[in-house]
Amino acid sequence: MRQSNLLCEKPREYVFTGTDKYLKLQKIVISEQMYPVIEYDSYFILIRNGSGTFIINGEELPVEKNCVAWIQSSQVLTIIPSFGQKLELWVCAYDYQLLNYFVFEQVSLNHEADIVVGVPVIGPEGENIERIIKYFEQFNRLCSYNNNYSAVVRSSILRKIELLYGREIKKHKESYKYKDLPLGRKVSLYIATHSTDDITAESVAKALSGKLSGADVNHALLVTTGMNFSQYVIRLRLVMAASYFLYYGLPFDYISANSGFDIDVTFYRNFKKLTGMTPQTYRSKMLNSKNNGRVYRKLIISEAIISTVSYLYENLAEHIDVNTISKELFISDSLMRKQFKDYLHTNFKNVLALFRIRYAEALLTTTDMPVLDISIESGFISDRTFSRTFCDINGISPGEFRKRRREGKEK
Amino acid sequence: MTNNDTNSETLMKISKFGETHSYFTKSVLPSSMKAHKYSVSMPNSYIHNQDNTFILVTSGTGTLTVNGLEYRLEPDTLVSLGCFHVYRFTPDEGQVLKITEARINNGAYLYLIANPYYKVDKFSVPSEPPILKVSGLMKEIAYEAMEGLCAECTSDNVDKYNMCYCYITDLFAIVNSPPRSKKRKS
Repeated sequence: MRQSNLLCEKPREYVFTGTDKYLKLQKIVISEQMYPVIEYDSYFILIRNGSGTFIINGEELPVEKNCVAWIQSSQVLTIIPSFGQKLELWVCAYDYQLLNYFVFEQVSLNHEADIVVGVPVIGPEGENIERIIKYFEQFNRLCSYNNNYSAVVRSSILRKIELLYGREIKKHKESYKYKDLPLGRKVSLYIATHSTDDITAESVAKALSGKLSGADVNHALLVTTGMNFSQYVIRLRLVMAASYFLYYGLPFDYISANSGFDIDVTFYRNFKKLTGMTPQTYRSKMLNSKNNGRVYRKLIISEAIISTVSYLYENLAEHIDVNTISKELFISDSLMRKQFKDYLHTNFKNVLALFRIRYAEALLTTTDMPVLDISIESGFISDRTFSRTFCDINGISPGEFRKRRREGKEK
Repeated sequence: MTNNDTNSETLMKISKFGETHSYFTKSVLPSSMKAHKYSVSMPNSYIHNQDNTFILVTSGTGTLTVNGLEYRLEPDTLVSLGCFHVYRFTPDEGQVLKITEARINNGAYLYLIANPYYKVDKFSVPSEPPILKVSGLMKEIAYEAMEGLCAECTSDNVDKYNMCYCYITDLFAIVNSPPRSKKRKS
């Protein structure tokens, strides 16, 4: 078995990630061995120039120009430039909350399993690498635009880099063998893919090899990550829990149960011990509504709201009220009202009216249907209600609207 | 009662949202995305589809009529057409409009506003389609998104719809970027 590279000091946090680093490109030059780093989110590193070595949980990986690394929260990274060289790095934090949004999952047990088992450094050659480099450069250019559009495109770039990274590591699947890894890396990899299970140092030792003991596992973790078994497992569970914090309406006790904590109190106590904050405070720090140099960030609008709006669209011609939606989608009306107000800044009646009026506009301008028929077709109970709502939204009557559109006049 | 029982109760409470989740899975997740290139050499009939459609004019000039209103089309014009927009193309005389078009189901389009970095001032359904002429970096991203969509939709990649969703996100962000230039014909 390969020897693990040992840590010489405790890893530091918030070097490459943090609430002030969302959607930012960090350009870093390293001329001597860096202290070890462990983060609460993942991050991508592009080697722009130079060569050196990345030590990830005791495993040594050579890097050179155009190599790309994706470092997870379960990995302690030490960066060592080659002797006499400087490593020029571009680093982007890729928060797990954003990743969860793009994979359309509210809760995903062992989601990290799919991510961590691949080789953590790829390149420097390959079509996917070229595309990743191009996305980094695009990300860099977008950073000078401080607006909503730029932020959304940057978020999609991070996801594209992740997908291309995933495609590239599939090519290395046969050559990157788990059995060839040093013990510290193996142990951390196993724990990262089973962090929500009821595991002990002894059970991990047994799973890895009949010749290992719990003490061996503990020691391997300590020298490669600076943490003992218990500390490492708890940290991974807390990071997994935090990855769901942006989902509106997910209670903390549900998150804690799904992250592997048997008791809520254990979750709260350990969270505060590790981060210095309660989960509520931590979550509020992850959000930003002001333009204070940090990018705007909100809670992810819940499945319930998206489903409700989609349902309203699909059934706009039907009689729909709060009770219908509560019954069909199992959403409480008070929760739905609150979420509509908090996140869409409107109410469901306004959204339904908008859908109906827009549908009516299409019928008014492209058919000769009488207004009465259009009002029924678009879901209104009477043409009076339809006309009144149409006027409220468009400022003119349906008849006038049709006339103006046909004559080509502006509103 | 053990703490495990308490957690089971919590999980059962949440599972009542099961119906929402199954609706979300059926209607909102990107079930399919389509992208293709085509040419329009003469006025076509009105088109209305249930999906959200992005259109990029890559060459030629003409007019896009949407719900009775006319919009000028030139190369690099990007349009977002919603499920309430009935539209048709009319190329200028002697011109051929070359168009790349991408479609996404309406539910998945709605999920775009759930992006944690997207600011929703107020949910709205525009009467007129967002339309603008892209240039500079926006143009580069828009063209790349459309090319990427065409390539991915016909590929065998297992994660192709994930990649397509990223490209749709780019187009969505571009058409909603300020300032929006209304290219309506007077």
